[in-house]
Amino acid sequence: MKAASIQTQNLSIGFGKGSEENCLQSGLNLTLQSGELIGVIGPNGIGKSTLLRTLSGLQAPLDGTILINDKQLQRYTKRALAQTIAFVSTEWINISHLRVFDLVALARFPYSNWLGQLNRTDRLLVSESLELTGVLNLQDRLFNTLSDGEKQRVLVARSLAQETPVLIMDEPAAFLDMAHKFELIRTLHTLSREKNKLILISIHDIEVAIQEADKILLLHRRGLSEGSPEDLILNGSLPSIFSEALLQFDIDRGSFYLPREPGTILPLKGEGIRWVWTEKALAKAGFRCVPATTQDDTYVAVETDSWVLHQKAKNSVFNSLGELIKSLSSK
Amino acid sequence: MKNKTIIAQLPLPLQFSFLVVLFALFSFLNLSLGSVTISWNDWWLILQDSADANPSYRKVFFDFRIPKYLTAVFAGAALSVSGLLMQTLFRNPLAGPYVLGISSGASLGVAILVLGQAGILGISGMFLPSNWALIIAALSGSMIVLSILFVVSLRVKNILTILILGVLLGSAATAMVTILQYFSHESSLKSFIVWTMGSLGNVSQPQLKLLIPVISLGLLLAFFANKSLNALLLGETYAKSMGVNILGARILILLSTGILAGTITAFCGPIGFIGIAVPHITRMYFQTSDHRILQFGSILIGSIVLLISDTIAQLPGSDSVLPINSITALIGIPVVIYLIFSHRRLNLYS
Repeated sequence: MKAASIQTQNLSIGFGKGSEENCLQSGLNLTLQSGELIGVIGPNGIGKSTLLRTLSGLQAPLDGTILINDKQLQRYTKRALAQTIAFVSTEWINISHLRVFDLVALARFPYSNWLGQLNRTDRLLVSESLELTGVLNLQDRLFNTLSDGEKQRVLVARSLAQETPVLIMDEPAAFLDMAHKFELIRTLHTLSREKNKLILISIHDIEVAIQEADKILLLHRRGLSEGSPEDLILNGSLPSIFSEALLQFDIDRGSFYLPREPGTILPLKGEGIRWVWTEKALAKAGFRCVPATTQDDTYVAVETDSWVLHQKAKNSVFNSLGELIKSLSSK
Repeated sequence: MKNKTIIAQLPLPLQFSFLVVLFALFSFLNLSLGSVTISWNDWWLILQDSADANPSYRKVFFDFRIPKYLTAVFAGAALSVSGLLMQTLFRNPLAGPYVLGISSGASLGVAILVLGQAGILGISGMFLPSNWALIIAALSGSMIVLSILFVVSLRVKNILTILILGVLLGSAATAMVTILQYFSHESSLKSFIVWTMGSLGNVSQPQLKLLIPVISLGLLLAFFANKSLNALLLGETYAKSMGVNILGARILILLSTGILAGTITAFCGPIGFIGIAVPHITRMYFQTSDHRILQFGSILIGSIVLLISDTIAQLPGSDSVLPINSITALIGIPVVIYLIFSHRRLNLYS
């Protein structure tokens, strides 16, 4: 497929007109190229969906210009734009009596005649798209009998069947389980490489975005940062996006966490992975673990198959962390 | 209807053939039953156009039953298709041909003619306007409502705004009708009430020559909207992203509905229920949401339902005629309730 690009110049996005104008982001200068999976991340209400809708031509920008393949977005005819950009929305779709295959086949709208008839190529493309998102086996089912995750994969298949060089998806993985989430994002990543597509998705799951995206558009109060996820972590822009919500970024693991109030100090003896998970469990229960020293009278020892609570008078043995925490909390 | 799941599995041509057979059957019943019982022998003579045919039977057949039959067929088709269009445009299972206030507008037109004119002219007796006057009054009423909606739909982005405005305009028209009713004379009030009950029997042969082409035009417009309607099933965002000209589609759909529902209301008065129920029955029968199938299906099923209603309303063998509006509701409601409950999923649309 031909290379595709999206460029914006001094773009302002938001809603409303005149005095009721609500500008979410302004002065956006972006250059996005095909062959990449680009993730849009940022806190709720920062303008992720608005940006995606604006770049898709579904919503007018407040200011600035958008160039799709070096041509102004407004200069596209409806059909030509639909043959260039496919969109997946977060909008809830609820229709009775619509087969999965027929829903995906609607994507052939910009190619079919006035009656909307499908030819063999169309049908083949629909099947291929269903196959790619792993829902070919559902093709004869009625859409409203599917689970949320299945519906979402069908809607992504619909966008693929539109056969466009640019794919813009708003939260395509929101309802998917971990396995399907990774699978879908990996599929999109592969597509961006093999078919040289420009794929822009918003995603809440930052860990998935960090692991799978080639490039991240990070929307925050102060504007937009773009770059590879790793660059954004190292330069500190990604770790700080939730700082108002007191979230801290664990730079070793590439994930966010909410720090806890310092709890009761509890010496913990042991090592390895069992020590790590014991510490996590105890932290949740309100204990701050420190390495045990020889002076400690009271401490917990992590053994290979049990946990021993050493106290002055007696030692108690626990077979699970659950039991240990129950006993500790009751004291 | 019990074997509808089996029907849904049949190939499409067979599904349609079954409906055509039903249509033929109820056409026959509708034409053969009525206040006058015509014997087989007389039928034969009439159909052969024989000179021996009983002239009064001939008159009954050609001047009353045929026009009423054709009116029922076209009214059933028109109301069902416009209901289908409204349900998809507004993505609302309760939408029907009258959701935009078309019938309320028509009522106001007729009320001004029947009640208002009687009041202005100070006629204390029953004022009986000509048939054409009624049609023109009803048509002007619904067209005024529709034009307001048109102008709004060119400016308003959200389709729900149009729906709400349609409902409000309808309510305003109904309120004005109530005021007119309050101040009007008993006898003219009755002739207005009779109009609101709907009638298929008042359309004359010359009027049919207008009604049939106009309804055909409305159906043709609806046919051209099919591709967009299918895309609109996914909502306006998806439709737009697939290249649907939302404004164009909206106008085409509103225009088609206005022509279909407006014309039928003008000629027959408001006929309720068909427009809401038939699209649902059609979806369940064909188990599809493809408008290319649903539209033809609605035309057939709508005609069949209205033919059945009309046949019952005639009370075969008696001189009385029941209001068609009551019959469509009384027949249709149990059918839809049965369909909902015999279907394990209790969903009509969603």
